[in-house]
This record gives sequence, structure tokens and C-alpha cells, in this order.
Amino acid sequence: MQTSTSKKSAVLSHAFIWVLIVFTIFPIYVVIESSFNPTGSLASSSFWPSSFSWKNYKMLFTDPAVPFTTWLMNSGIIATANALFSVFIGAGSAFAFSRMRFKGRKLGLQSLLLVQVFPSFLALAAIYVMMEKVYTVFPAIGLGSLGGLLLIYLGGAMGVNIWLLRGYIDTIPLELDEAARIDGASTFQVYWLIFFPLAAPVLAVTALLSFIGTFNEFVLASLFLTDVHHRTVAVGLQSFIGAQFGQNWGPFAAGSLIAAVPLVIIFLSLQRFIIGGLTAGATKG
Amino acid sequence: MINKRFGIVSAVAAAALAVTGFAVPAHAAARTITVWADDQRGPQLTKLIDGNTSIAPGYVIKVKYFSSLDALQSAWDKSTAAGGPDVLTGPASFASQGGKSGKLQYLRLLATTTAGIPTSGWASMSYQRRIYGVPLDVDTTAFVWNKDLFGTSAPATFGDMVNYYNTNKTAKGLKGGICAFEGTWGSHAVLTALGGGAWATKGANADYSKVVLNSPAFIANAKKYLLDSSGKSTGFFQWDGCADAFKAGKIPFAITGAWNFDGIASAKINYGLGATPGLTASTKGAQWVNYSGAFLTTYSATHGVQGGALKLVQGYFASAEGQLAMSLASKRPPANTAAASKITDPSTLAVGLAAQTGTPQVSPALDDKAGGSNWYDTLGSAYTDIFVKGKDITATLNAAAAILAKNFADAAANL
Amino acid sequence: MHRLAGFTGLPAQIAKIIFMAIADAALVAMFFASLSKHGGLLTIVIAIIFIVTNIVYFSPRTVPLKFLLPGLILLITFVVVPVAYTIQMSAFNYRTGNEISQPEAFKQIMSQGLQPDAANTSFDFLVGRVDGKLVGLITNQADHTSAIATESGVTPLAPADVKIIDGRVVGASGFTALTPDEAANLDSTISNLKFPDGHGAYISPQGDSAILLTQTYLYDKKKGTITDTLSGEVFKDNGVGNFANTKDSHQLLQPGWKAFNTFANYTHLFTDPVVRGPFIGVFVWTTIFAFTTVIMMFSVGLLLAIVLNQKLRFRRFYRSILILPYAIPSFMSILIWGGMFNRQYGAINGLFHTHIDWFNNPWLAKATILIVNLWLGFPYFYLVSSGALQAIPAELEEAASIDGAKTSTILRLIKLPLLLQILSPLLISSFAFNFNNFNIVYLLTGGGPTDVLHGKTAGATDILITYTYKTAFGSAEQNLGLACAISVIIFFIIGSISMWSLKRSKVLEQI
Repeated sequence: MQTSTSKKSAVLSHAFIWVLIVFTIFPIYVVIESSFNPTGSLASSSFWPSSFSWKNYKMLFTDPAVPFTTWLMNSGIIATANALFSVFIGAGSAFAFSRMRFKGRKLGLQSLLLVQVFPSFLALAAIYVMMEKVYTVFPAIGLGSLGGLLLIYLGGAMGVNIWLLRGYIDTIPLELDEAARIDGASTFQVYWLIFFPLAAPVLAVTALLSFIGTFNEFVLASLFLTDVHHRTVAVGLQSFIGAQFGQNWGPFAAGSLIAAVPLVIIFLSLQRFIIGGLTAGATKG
Repeated sequence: MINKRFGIVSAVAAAALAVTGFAVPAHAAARTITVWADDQRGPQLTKLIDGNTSIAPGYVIKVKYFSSLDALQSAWDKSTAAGGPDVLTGPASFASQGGKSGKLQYLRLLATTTAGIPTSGWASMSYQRRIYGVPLDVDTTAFVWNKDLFGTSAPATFGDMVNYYNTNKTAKGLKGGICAFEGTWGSHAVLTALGGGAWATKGANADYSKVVLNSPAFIANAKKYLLDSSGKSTGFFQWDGCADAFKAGKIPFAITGAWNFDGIASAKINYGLGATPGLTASTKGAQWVNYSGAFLTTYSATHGVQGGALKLVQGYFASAEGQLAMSLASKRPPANTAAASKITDPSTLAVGLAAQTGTPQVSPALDDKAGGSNWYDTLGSAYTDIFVKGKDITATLNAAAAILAKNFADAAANL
Repeated sequence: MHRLAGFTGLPAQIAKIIFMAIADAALVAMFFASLSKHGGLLTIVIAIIFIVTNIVYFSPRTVPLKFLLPGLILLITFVVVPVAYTIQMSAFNYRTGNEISQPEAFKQIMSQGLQPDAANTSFDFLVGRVDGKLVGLITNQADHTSAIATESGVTPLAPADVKIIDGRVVGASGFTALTPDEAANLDSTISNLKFPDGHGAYISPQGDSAILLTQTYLYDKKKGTITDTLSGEVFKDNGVGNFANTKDSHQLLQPGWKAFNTFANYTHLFTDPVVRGPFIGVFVWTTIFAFTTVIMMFSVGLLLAIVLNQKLRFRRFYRSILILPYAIPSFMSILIWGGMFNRQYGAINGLFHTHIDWFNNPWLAKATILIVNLWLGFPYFYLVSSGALQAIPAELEEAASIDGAKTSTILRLIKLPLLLQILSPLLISSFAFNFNNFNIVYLLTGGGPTDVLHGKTAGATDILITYTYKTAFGSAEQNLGLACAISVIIFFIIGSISMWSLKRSKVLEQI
């Protein structure tokens, strides 16, 4: 009796998993197939690819009008910078909110929470006008520059990051800080020497999620980055299929694959930490 | 303690000032005219005029282009004098928007400039009887047929195409008869070939008080050529894009523009170009003829480069030499008649010829949504209802026409 | 505590000074750059940041602020300020045609009153100096007569006094042309030159040429009216941002300006049937969508977590495949899915040889959104559920099974309630996220299908944020003021939900 139910449930489990796997893999398969399809369509009238060519990949790396490697680099630079700075700056604020008692702390946290739920996306017009002004004075961090876009991303990431990291810091036992303080450590030393190493895994995960988020971002980037050499991968690739007339899925699919593979590898190799990071926010709220 | 602190502050201040010394004098005093474009025209303009200092002596021209027309439109909508362009290039619809918003400068053109470009071009650039841009080139479509399927000579009438489709549908595995690569916009030639259209014409002028989308003639012809006896689509008319099927040789006839000819050729389709066949051998379908323009912004005055920007707009963008160079790069027929006479590229010529039978695309009327929705969305919705969902054609077109009547009336007041 | 010792004293101080020196240098550089460009508010903001930064980092009493300041500055500049601006804009008549300031609009209107004469008299124009005064050397393009135009009038030139090269007048006696660079530097001055022709019109430079213009709009400062001298129509400020015809209030002079209208945008939302109808419909679907999609993603994710929590063969392999959607940039996935659902060439219809029109049927379009969002979101819920499952103490399970409870009962009665408790904040924040999930709707269906033939202005899959986006930036006719008002309302809705959930989970009391 016992064995037959468990057998039945094992079959059901496998069936469930395989349905999900087919569902998961289907679009990925279509992308791979399209990336090798020389006609530039996303057609898949049969399950097996009808033709095979490296044309789309070659085009990405040889066509002078498509600086794909520059796009990749831009995305890499801006996503890395955003991940590092947003976590580094966010961690400081989160530490203050978690460990220090000061006037306006509770109000600060509440406003932080409120501010981050504002559909900031809709404040786009305001941000645009602001960055236009900045551009006239310091072009390096104004409209059209990667620096300016980074600042906007950083501002947008602050709310969520501070909130998430504070949740995690709250779970680090206070005794450690107190022990250090008895030894005469200043607040800065507690931060650098006790807290930072302890929080390193969760900081890394937050950074990784920021990285992926930035890599993914399209709306702001398409509006702010005009120069073809300043585009990010998302904006550059979108121009293949968002053109006024006609869509060219081939290079889009090939480029998406190239851009996604490193992310997937990082993600899969760090999945253990990521789960920890995701639930850290949950357990403490 | 205080002394130490003071020492730190002064050290920091000194360091700050030292660095400032290097950082401040970075700005050059060059007078730059900034031109904005979309992803189609941008790369071409960059090659032609980016960095140019001779068109407007004393100024340097800088071309900035966006990843798509949407991105250009979006940035232009949000732009202010701080970062906005001095000259904007793009579809004629910018004229009415810019005239209304006050972001475009109304142009006082020279007699010679006006004479070089046809009146229909200027009409497309005006709003409330003032001209806001210089027509650059013609955006329109031509009729394309697959010679390997249909044969080397073009079909004479609409009926010929329908017959060919009905006869060969199964044998050749056709996925449709005629298709518009550019959706509702491109399908206008089919609509007009069958006696439909947007507004009526009175002599050479448009009559916006009369909507002809639901004209009895069109409904009768659509029933005859596009629908079967039960009112369902025969599959002949593919209005919502089918570039892949045409390139795969599964559709014999199509309507598209110069920007797709290279793609069709590289898909190894042996194609011919012409005008969309009408009901008889002597009538043709009329496609939308839209102009792209170069527009002078009011920001140029704020930036102190209006004089230079005007030289660029009148002396290059409106000139025969400028338009010829741009047409060679874009394959679109130039608006300037002198430039048009020097075109030798056969596909540009064919499109130019097709454009002469087209209908001027009056953006303020087509974009207006006083009735709830603009021309394109309304027509798209109607086509979906008729050709996909199989709804009654008369009722659907009447509902669409009611919306359009309001739009056209509203727009006509401002033309 | 040797490690600690190494970080105090001089090295730390030096590091701090170097860091501050760089920051101060950047700020000072920005300050001067901004000052030299008449930065206005920007200059003041930089000065404030400079002062606050230095006080905070050199005073011994502001320890919390030392940690908070960088985050705070970023948050205020790029989140709070734009939000405040959005709220401010919601109180203005700010739409296509009413985008610029009143003085600017007035200037534009008056400029439109400048009309060329019937013959469109045009001149070749060369700017230069006569006796040090800025003048124009004009040559009529029709009859080729030349003249010197000054601010006091036009003096004809004898053909002998004019120097012509290649058919174009390039100089005249007593006239010194400006070099291109000189002219470019005086661009604003030259563009604004007006040379009276002595007959009520004046000659206005247009780049290389000039044209004869007459002012046809008459502004009466006392009455505040503009009279069109050609048609005799009189226009007056209508109080909401336009000069309107005194006889026909619908006839406006364009452009208008941004005008303050307090709560008109908000009342508009609830009283104007054209706006109210779609707003309520969209709001209902937004709520249903956010709720359904979270439930779907959570159920699949949780079920998967339970299944994969067992000892299964290939568990690690399955797991690696099934979290792929979370690792792939979602922007790309959505676009690919959009292509796959296409009626004509999509892989889904192609593979099953169907002709389903996914995006033109309101219900199917809604279904595609839910399906694609499920694909995107279930791995996240799998990851968090599986983490939470492992966090439930094993003793609980053991105790229950000793009491004779079945595995399924343990799951239902013990694990699930605990799990829900742990995950409820994540569920709520996921609800809030999906409530504003712009990308999925905009990139997949664009909010469509829209039944425009029956008077609908919002699409069947439009959620509040995409509807707002369309209102604000969507088409030729935009209404930014109204869009800002909707944003503020969304803000209140989501803000209340978040605050409520926090109150409930007692987080705010803990902090």
C-alpha cells in the first residue's frame, strides 16, 4: 500500500515536472532556432529547424553599423557599476537604520517604504527634464551619458536595497556588535570589520539581482541613450525588432542568447546563495 | 582638536580647488547645431553632414539619432530647451504636433525654396495655415509582385490577382493573395483600389466632411473580391503584415516601401514593381503618400543658433543637392523636384512614380481621435472584425466611419 | 583585536581626507561649471550638497548621517524630487498644446502673427557693419536690386556700388561683411534684427536670406486681448492656458501654455464619462490581473518546491532547467513570447497548425499575459518557497509523524500555514509589483485589443500603468497632467496596500 502510493506520487511528480520543463524550454528552443535561421523570421512551422546558418552571429560582430560588442560592454559596465555602488551605498544606509537609534528613524523608514512603491516609471518626464538641465552643465553625467543613466538607476535602486538589506542586518545578532564595542571599536569599525564580512553573501546576492535588473532595463535606457555607441544590449537589440517597418528576429535572437548565457551561468552557479538572499527579506519582513 | 579639524578642512579645500583648476576649462565655445533623427535616417545623415562646418559656416553640425522612431518621438515629447534639438527630422506628423505645442518654429520661407517643392509637400508640413517644416523625401509604398509565381508582367486588374489566388491557392500552398508589409498604413492601396478610402475629394482638394470608408461601392467590391459567400475572409487579403510569407514565396502580391526591397532581393525573390491594380486595367489603387520633413525648433533660438540652423534647413535640407544626396543614401524619392529629376535608381523611380497616384497623408486628420480613436486603430479594429472574426462588413464599416467622421471634422478645423 | 587597531588612527584619517578631497573637488568643479552656465536652482542644489557633505563628514556628532547621506542624496534627487514634480504637474493643465510657459507661448503666438506679404518678397541677405552699426545688405531675389537695410530704414544702392561674384551680391562700398565666425557668435542678435521697410512691414533675416514680414496680430495690453487684423477675430486668455476666440471659445490660438488648474485633473477622472469609464474598467482588470497572476505563480512555484523537495532522481538537473526563466532577461523573453503568439507567423500556431488570433480576442489576450507572466514568475516563487520549506524546523514534521499524521496532512495542516506566514510579505510585494507590471503588458499586447469601434479607449489588457502611459505619452494627443493625477492615485492605492500589510505583519512596530 505504502509503496504503491509513493510510486503513484512519483509518477505524478515526474509528469508535473516534465510539463513544466517543456513549458520552460519551448521559448528558449525557439530563440535558439531563430538565431540560426538566415531568413530573419521567428517562424517555426515544424519542430525541426529548416535551415541553418551563422549569418546572424556573424552580422553582430562584423557589421560596422551594429556595434554589438560595445553594447555588451556598456551593459556590463553599467550593470556592474550599479550593482556595486547600489549595494555599497545601500548597505551603509541599511546599517544605520538597523543598528543606530536617531531622531526621525522610524519616519525615515516609513517614508522609504512609501517612496519605493511610487510608480517611479511615471515620473519619467520629470527625470528627463532634470537630466536635460544637468546635461547643459556637465555633459558627462547628463542626458545621453552612461554616467547619468547610472545615477538614475542608483537612485531608483536605493529604496528597495536599503529595505531588503535592513531586513537581513536585523537578523545578525547584536551580541557581536556589543562585543566589538566593549573592545573599543568605533561604529565605523563595527561596520567594516564585523558587519561587512558577515553580510557579504547577502550583499553579493543583492548585487547580483541588481546586475540582472540593470541588464534588463529597457524603457529608461532607450530614452536616455541616443548615441549608437552608448546603447545597452537591451536597447540595441530592440532596434532590430522595434523598427518602424519590418522586424528582423534573427540578430535579435542571436544577440539575446549571447547576452543571456553569461547571466544564466552566473545564476546557476550561485543559485544556493540566491535562494538565501531571496528569503532573507521574507523571514524578517 | 579644533585646530586639527581646521587643518583637515583647509587641506580638503586646497585639494578641491587644485582639481577644479583642471576640471573647469573643458568647455569649447563652438556653435553646434544639433540635428535629431530616428534609426533609419540617422546613420545616413551622420555620414552626410555630421561634423560638417561648410553648410553653415561658423557652426558645426552634430547628428544625434535614436534607436527607433518611438524613442525619437518620446524624447522629443519630453524635450525642453535645455537639451532639445535645433533641427528635427522625421514624419510630417511632427509639423502639427510641434505647431500646436509651440516647440517648432513657424518657417518664413523664401520664394525660391517654396517653388522647388510641390504644394502637396508643403501642405503636409502645415498646421493652422503655417508651414513648420521642409519636405525632405517621400515615404510611400509601391506594389510588388513575385515574378516566379505570377509571371513577368504585372496583373492588369484586381480581379486577375484574385483569380490567380483562387486557382493556385492549394497547388502552390499560398498563405494569402496580397499582403501589406506595413499593416493598415500600407493596405490603403487595396482599400482605394476597391473604391474605398478615408475622405472624399472635391476636385483637387480633400473633402473632410465625407467619409468614404463605408461607401457602398467598396462594400460591394470587398464582398466580391475579399469575402466568401458566408461573409468570411477568403484569405486573399492579409492586411496585418506578412513579410515572412512573401519572402518565402508563399504570397504572390505585396505592398511595401523602398526600405524592404533589399530584404526581398536577398530572400531571392524575383520581383517586379508597379502600382496596385484597380478594378479595371486603367484604374490603380492609391497609397498614402507621406512626406518626411526637417523642422526648425524654437530651441534653436534659445541656443543662439537659429540663423545657422535656418541655413541648414533652407540651404541643405530643402536644396536639390542636399535632397539628392539624401535620396541616394535612403532610396526614398526626394521631395525637391530638381533633385527628383536627377534620380536614376530604378526602385526609387518606381516608388516616385507610384507616389504620383497616391493620396496625401494628412496626419492631423489621420492622427486625430476626437471620435475616440485615430484612423489607424479604427481601421485596424475594423479589419480584424471583418477579416479575422468574420463580422458583418456593413455594420463594422459604418461603426468605423462614425468615429472617423468626428475625427476628420475636428481636424479640418485646424488644417 | 589587532585587526581593529590597524584601521584606526592615521591611515583611516588619510583615506577619509583623500576621499573627501575627491568628492569636494568634483562638487566644486560642478558648482563653478553650473555657475558659469547660469545654472540657477542647480547651482544652489550643488552648494547645499557640498555644505551638507562637509558638515556631516567632518563633525563628530553626525554618525548616523555619515552612513545615510550618500543613499539619501541619491534617493532625494532621483526619486523624491521627480515624485514631487509629478504631484505638482497633476495640478496643471499640461497636455499637447499646453506644454510651455506663458511668456514663451505668448512669444510664439506673436511670432505666428508675422506674415509674409502676398508676393512673398525674399532677399539674399548679408550681415555686416556700416560705420560700426549692424546692418543688412539685401538683394531682392525677384528684381535683383540691392539695398542697405538699417534699423532706421532701407537705402537703395546703385548697381555700381555692389560687388557681385557668381551672381550673388557679396559686398558693397562702405559695407564690411561679418566673417562667418563673427556672425555665428552674434546669431541671436542677428536673428532678432528688424529692418523697417518704411511701409509698415519690416525685413527679417532668415539665415542666408531675409524676408518681408508684417505683424498681423495686435496685442492690447490693457484688455489682454490679441486681435487678428486679417480676420478681425479677437482672442482673450481663457484662464486655462489658451487665448480663445471671444466669439467661439473652441477656437484657440496655438500654442497654449501650462496653466494651473488645481484639482481639475482629478475631478475629470471621476466626472468625465470619456475618462471615467475606461478608468474604472482598467482598475478592475488591474486588480484581477495582479491577484490572479500572483496566485498562479505562487501555486506552481510552491507545488514545484514540494515536488522537488522529495528525493528524486535528476533533481539538480530539473532544478537548473526550471529556474532558467528567472535568469534570462525578461525584456527579451517577453518579446520572444510576443512573436511566438503571433497569429500568422508565431511558433505556437505554426506548431499546432492552428490559426488562433491570440492578441485580438480580449479573453485570449488576457490569457497570454497570464501564461507568459507565469513563465516569468514561477521560478521566483519556486526559489522562495523552497527556501522557506527548508527553513521549517524538521522537529515539527517528526513530531507530527510520530503522532501518526500522513505526509499530506502534515503538509496541509502544518507546513502550508507556516509557509504562508513566512511568505506573505513577498506575496504582497509581488502583488504590488504586478499591479504596476508595465513591461509584461506593454511589450506583449500593448494593452490591446482595443474595441475602438464600440467606443473603447482602453485596451482589454491595459492595466493602470500602461493606460496612464498611453494617456501621458501614447500618441499625438497627450495629457501629461491627467497622467500625473492617475500616477498619484496609483501611488495612494499601492501605498495603502503596503502600509496595511506592514501594519498587519507588525513590521513597523519592530523597527
